[in-house]
Amino acid sequence: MAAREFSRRDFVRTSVAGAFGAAACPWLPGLAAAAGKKPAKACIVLWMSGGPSQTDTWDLKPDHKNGGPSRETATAVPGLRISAHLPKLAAAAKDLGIIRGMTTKEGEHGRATQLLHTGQLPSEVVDYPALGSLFAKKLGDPDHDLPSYITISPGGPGQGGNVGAGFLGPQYAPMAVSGISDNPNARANLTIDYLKPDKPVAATDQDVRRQLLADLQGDFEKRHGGAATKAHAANYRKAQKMIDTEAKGAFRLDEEPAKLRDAYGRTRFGQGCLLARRLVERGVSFVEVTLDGWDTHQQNFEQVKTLSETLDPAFATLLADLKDRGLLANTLVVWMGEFGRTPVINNTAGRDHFPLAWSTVLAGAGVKGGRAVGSTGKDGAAVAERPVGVADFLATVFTAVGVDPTAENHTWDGRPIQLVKGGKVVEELLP
Amino acid sequence: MLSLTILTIGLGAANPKESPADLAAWIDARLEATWRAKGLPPREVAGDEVFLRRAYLELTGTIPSVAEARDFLDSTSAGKRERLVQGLLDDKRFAEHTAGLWARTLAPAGNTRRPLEAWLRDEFRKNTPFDQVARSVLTATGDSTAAGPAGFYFAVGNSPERVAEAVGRGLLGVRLGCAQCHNHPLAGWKREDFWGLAAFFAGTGMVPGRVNDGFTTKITPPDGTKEYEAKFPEGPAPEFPAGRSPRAVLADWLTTPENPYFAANVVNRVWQDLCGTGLVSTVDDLDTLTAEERKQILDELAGKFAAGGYNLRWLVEGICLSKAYQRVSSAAVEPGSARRPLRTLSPDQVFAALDQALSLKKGRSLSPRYTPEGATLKAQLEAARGVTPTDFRAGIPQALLLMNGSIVTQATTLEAGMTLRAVVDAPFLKDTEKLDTLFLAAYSRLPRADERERCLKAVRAKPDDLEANRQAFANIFWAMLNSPEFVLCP
Repeated sequence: MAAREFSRRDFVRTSVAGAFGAAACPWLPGLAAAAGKKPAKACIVLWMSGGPSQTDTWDLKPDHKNGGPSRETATAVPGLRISAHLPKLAAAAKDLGIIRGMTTKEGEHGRATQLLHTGQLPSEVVDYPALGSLFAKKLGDPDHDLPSYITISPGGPGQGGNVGAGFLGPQYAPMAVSGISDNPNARANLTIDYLKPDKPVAATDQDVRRQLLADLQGDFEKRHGGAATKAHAANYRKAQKMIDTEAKGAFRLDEEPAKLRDAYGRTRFGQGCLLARRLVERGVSFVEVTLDGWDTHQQNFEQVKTLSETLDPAFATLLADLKDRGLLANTLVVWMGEFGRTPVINNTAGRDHFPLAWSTVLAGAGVKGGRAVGSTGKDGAAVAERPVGVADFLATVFTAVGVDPTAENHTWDGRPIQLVKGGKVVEELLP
Repeated sequence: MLSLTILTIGLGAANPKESPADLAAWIDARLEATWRAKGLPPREVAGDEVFLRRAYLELTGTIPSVAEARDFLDSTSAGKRERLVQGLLDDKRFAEHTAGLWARTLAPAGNTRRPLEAWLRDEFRKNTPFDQVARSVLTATGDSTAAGPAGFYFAVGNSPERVAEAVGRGLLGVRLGCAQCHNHPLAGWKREDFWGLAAFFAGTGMVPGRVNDGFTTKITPPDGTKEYEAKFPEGPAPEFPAGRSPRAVLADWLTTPENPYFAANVVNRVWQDLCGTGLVSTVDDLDTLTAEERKQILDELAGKFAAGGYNLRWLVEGICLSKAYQRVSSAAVEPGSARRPLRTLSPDQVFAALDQALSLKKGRSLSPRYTPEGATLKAQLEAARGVTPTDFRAGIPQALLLMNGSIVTQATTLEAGMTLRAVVDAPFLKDTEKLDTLFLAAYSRLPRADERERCLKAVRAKPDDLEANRQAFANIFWAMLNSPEFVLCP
């Protein structure tokens, strides 16, 4: 055989020598952290679980029977019209870059949820990481007290889809924030899982436990050392810090003026958006806030109206609040679901799954607002102009926050995987 | 195509009557010579408590019970380590644990391993020679969703490409997968090597639920026009006698001297499972080793394994009886040095250890082993699975889970903790004996003098308050379950 001048063995050796004992390198601080401090970019995804109806939100058809009873309103941007149920967003339209030509090929909740989060359908070969994990790896600070990917109120019909770290490993996995109450209209009570013991433990006992644990950790470290021992200790240090500071106080929503909390809406989603701002403010790279309920097979119009009343104040106030704090220029806000809904109204006044032609919205991070890109023609049955596939869409999302979508990660068996495979950015929306 | 054509299988091979103890002595002589040559002083043999926990975790996937730990540690018999190893090899948990490891090796990405794993469990219980196990997998027909070797095809994804990749990695220890799309940039594998292996399975009928034999020996990749002929990764061109399936021809080649990979792969993986790292470098890269490296020990050990009839139990017993297995670990280990690293318990081992230490409730009906809380805990631990036994991949969520999650919280409350209550409320135990029992339950050892002193101080902080005394044990138990010693194995 031909001489191998540089074998994989050499390669494996080199990397192992560099990262002694940590072949998979999960504990090496990201080089990004050391490479100078640029203003931190962040991304907030407003996840519309169930598949929101484009025809009743961003792309109305008032002159066609497919439009149903939904009415349009003028916006702050002449010529741009959206649903009359979204008045505050209409006023904020100068910040909104609406994509009306989304077109995808998956109409099952779980698989489509995975598709929009990873750019890929589920695969037996590669466990693709979700958007949030990719962001966490690219933009997150591994030494930060808070995890880089936080998901608020996850759930809904697509939760079987993978929205986790996949082959990137658990250090990039989402930290879930769940509400105590499942009633979206109840006062939001958001917290990280296991931040408090399942049953109350007296403060004095907590202190004793910590001290005993610290002693055991110290002994073990002295006897055995090793990278895993250090990693274990770092985890507990961070976890304890999160417990002590109640995650840097991010969850103390009471600190916010009552007026601002009202403006977001006293809903789980509204308060979740406020929490997202507080997390981004504290250096979290990626936050996803779920608004579930968009799977409107029946009584679509009533349900969309109710959902819009939750969405409109939350989304609009989030943009205004981020702007007030100088965060909007570096924070991308993405509005999306797993697919759209049929323009044709079914016989229970509902709309069914429709990946062929639907809408998403981008705002912030320099995205050119005040415009809608693409069109779905008179009846909304297909993309008539400027189709945007999932790869195009995700490439645009990465580019907006300054991440090269062709950058590669490697699976555990060494396969190179691009953040987004193929895909042309939607230039009309990028600065 | 590779430089490592020199084969030592069969040469210097063992007298088939070589006992596990003979094998252990041979391993030690070889490794000590290697270490001497490298100027590495051999480390001392670890104490009983380290050996005990290791042997349980690596042979059964769990930790010993309080009684098992006490019996072993109290025994003064000279042959107690040998007897422990033999006892654990006879334990049905050995077959279960080994089946789990090999099912994962053969189908790392699959989540449909159950039928394969169930069948492997029976084979390991019977100690079927490993070449026969591999042959059964390669030639399997029948229902792939019921326990049986055909489950392999279901587990890897029912296509010739997936099967070729899994056979390459799992049975040969080489990564051919990259050559599916392009010639391998580093190890020298070409597309014809990958597709040549896949071609043995081109005619195999694989649909979910059913595997049939077929006789095609050619395959065309989905993206190309070029057709590839079945070809062994090493050695002469295959011959296909009439009526013999291509898969059977491949299975014949597996154990011939033309194949430098099969026995070496098993030996290297078993070494990694038992000792934390492969004998040589990583387990998936046998193709990148030089002949020099292989000669050091791997090929000869593989030769002994082959000559002894691919007897897995004999191999495991021999390794576990060696001093090499029993030496203390090192914090940082040079790859290929055959020294023991500090290892991380797998998610299964952490769960099993919690199960053992806490006397968790058993589930009912559908999943007899787990309650719903247990299943949730298992899934949350699973998210932190590492690639090798030394990877520590748990994150903050797993730390929070063990600190505050329902199972550990309950286990460390005096009302609900089964182990804790049994210890704390035992009227016949003194404080120091209660402490011993908790240490045996969580750590499989007795407290050291300084630990005992520290813990007893906590226990006696309020001498007149009986409730505080009981609560102190709960606090100690909580700290142990959250400490590195519970999830790492030196």
